[in-house]
Amino acid sequence: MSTGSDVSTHSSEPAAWNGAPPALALRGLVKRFGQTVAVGGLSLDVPTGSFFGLVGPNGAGKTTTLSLTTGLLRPDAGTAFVLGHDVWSDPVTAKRLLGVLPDGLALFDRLTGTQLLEYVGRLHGLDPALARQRSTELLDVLDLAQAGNTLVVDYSAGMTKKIGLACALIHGPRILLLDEPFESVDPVSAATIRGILRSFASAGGTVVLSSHVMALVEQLCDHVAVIAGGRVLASGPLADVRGDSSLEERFVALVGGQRDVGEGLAWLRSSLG
Amino acid sequence: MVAQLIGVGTSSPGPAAPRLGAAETVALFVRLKLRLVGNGLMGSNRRLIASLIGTAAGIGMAVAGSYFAALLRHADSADAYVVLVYAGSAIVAGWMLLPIFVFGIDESLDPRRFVLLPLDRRALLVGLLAAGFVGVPSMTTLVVALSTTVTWSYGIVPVVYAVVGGVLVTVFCVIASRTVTTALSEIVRSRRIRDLWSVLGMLLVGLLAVLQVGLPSLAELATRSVLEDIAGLLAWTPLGAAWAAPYDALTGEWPLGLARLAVMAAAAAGLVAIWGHALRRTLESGGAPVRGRPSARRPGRGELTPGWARRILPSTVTGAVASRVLILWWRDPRQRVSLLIIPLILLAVVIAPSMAGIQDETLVILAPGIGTLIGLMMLNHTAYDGTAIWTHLVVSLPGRVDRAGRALGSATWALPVVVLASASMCLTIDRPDLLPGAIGGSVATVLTGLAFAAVSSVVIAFPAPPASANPFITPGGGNVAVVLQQFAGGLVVGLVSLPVYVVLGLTIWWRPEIGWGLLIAGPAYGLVLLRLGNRLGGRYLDDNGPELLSRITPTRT
Repeated sequence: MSTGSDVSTHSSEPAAWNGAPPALALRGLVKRFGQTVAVGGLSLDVPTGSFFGLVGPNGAGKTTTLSLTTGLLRPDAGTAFVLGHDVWSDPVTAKRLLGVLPDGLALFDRLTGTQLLEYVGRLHGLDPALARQRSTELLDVLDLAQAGNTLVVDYSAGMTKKIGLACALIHGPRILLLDEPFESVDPVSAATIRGILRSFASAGGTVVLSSHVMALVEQLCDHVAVIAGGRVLASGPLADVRGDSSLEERFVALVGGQRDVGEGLAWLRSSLG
Repeated sequence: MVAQLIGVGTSSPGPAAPRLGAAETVALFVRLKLRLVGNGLMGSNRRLIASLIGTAAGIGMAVAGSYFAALLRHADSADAYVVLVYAGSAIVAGWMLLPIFVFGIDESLDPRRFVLLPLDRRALLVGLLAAGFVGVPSMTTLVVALSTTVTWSYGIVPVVYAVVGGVLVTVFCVIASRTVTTALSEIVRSRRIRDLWSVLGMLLVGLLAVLQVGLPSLAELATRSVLEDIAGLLAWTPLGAAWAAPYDALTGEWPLGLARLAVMAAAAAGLVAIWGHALRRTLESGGAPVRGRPSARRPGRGELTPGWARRILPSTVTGAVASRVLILWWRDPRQRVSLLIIPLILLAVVIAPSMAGIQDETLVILAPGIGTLIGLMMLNHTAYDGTAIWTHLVVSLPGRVDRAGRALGSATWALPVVVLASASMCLTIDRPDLLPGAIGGSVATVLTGLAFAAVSSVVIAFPAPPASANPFITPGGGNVAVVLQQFAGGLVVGLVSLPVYVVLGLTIWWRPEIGWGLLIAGPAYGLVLLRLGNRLGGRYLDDNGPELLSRITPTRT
């Protein structure tokens, strides 16, 4: 549904890119919660058309970063640009380009799956009939057609993830921002979702997903950023970030803190006889 | 192989945990419970204060109860018998009913948390029971029950009966509350039942308020002989048996008292069996929530806008918000309670006075009251969306549209309801000439309420209780500031609606023709305010969306 093909920036912020703006440009994002610094001056570019993995340990600031980018949380400093549009000074244009699946926020779960999708579609300005048509297609593809008339509150965790993804897709966004999209999704549905995301990316869409399953990120993404302690430790094309080792080894080396079991827990081995 | 892994085989190598004896189990559970009580005193200030208040209340009740029991020593023993049976039955009934209303009253020792530990059911039963005795409520009950020894200090046998009865009562109470909790935990895990429960609970409270009118006549019925008959009945149930036994001993009928104590002991034993059964069912259900049957919902077309409202609600974004708000008024149990309480109040206002013989035009001044009430229900309406409001933020939905949609969706049912209510009131008192004024006035108050709610539900928003929560528990965040803000909000709604009431008063007691003016001017006044409210609330929402989201996100405790 997006029509924003003009990339002129309305923002007073200095646009630090040459030529076409990247899909996402995060600039100096800072967020503190009381004494805790959740995100400390985070800058990141997500190239248009990339399949971008955001990896980091628990509490690294992945969810906070995504919230700051999608306008759900106001940064203490810095801002985010979506295809050159500032999320905080030109929110309507910027947010129409995004499809968002947050983690840990509720849906209007007293609606049925069909109603929820129609609602989200209509919030994006779709005509009711079009919203309903797309909702039927999405439910069908995501294998939720049977559950279309069930209240979302009665869905399992995996089904809730899938309907959330459908909500992010219904208006035809240019960029998908997905927080832990594969969590508690069964393998069959995960394969379906991967298929949807791949075809979205191959058609020129940009996908940003956060995860701490390295194998998944390695398999899906062509770009990654490693985040820890609210900062970017490394970012770029997957091959550059992981170098010769696997992404997991590189990640552990970057983040640190792995404990070697060594001779500890001896009883665990002896109890096996 | 598997048996070896989990340490069941006798020849299992390695330091497998030894089996616990009954005494060790009891000690373990009691220590655990004491630790939990102790930890309640650490942690957040709110929990500390709650624990302290609970303890103080327990001590207070123990002191007051014992003093009362001691005081009864001076009363005629037949009177003491009746009083103790009633008061005692109330205590026992309280133990059985409390877990129904305050579910999760003692979640610290939820049996399901022990499922994965190598404890057999008997050990778990004994341990949970022992832990149940540790706590302020059980100690309070024991103290009060044992203080009846003072009441019956006329001889050895009555005192012995009182001691045995007191212990039995406490044991019974603890078992009963555990049984009810365990049995409920299974039922309550179903979302549908929890929803139903919270609706029924709130309606019960509302009904009680209405019934207060009828209570005085009930009191007239209760003569001394009726009271004694009921006490005689209670004395043969587990509710009152233990409290009555010492009196039998005193009047020389000690076998009768013994029989009552036997009733008590048998009831306790029976409950243990029931509890054990319920516990097994809970543990063996694997902790999975009971699933509602999805097929139970009739396969409608599943469109967002209900069929009957499709003519009223436009197919715009505002219309979408309005449709969603309208659906949730019924689907969200918290809002459904508000809906269902309106007919109750109407009944109380219209029918109760006419039954009492009051049938004058004073009733009509109450018609706009329904509108004001609907406005008051919506003071914190945005918070019912909970964190789902992100869906609005993430599309940068203009605040004005959000506000207008909410007002429209609520007005879709509220306006017909108040018009009907006004009409029924005017017809009840047979004054159709007051109809225009009543309708104009009540439509005006609905719109005024919506107007104020459009502002208040973003400016003074606070977390709403979860949709399936226990209706008798106020959620976190219900602090003094919030209560004050809500009170102030209510006051402002009242003040802004005051002109409507004044004009309606003039219509009723001075010139009924003014009513026609109110029919036009009232809704116009309301619409102007609503426009203003939507603009103010919308602008606030535009400027403070993310802050609102974090403000109505429930804090985890």
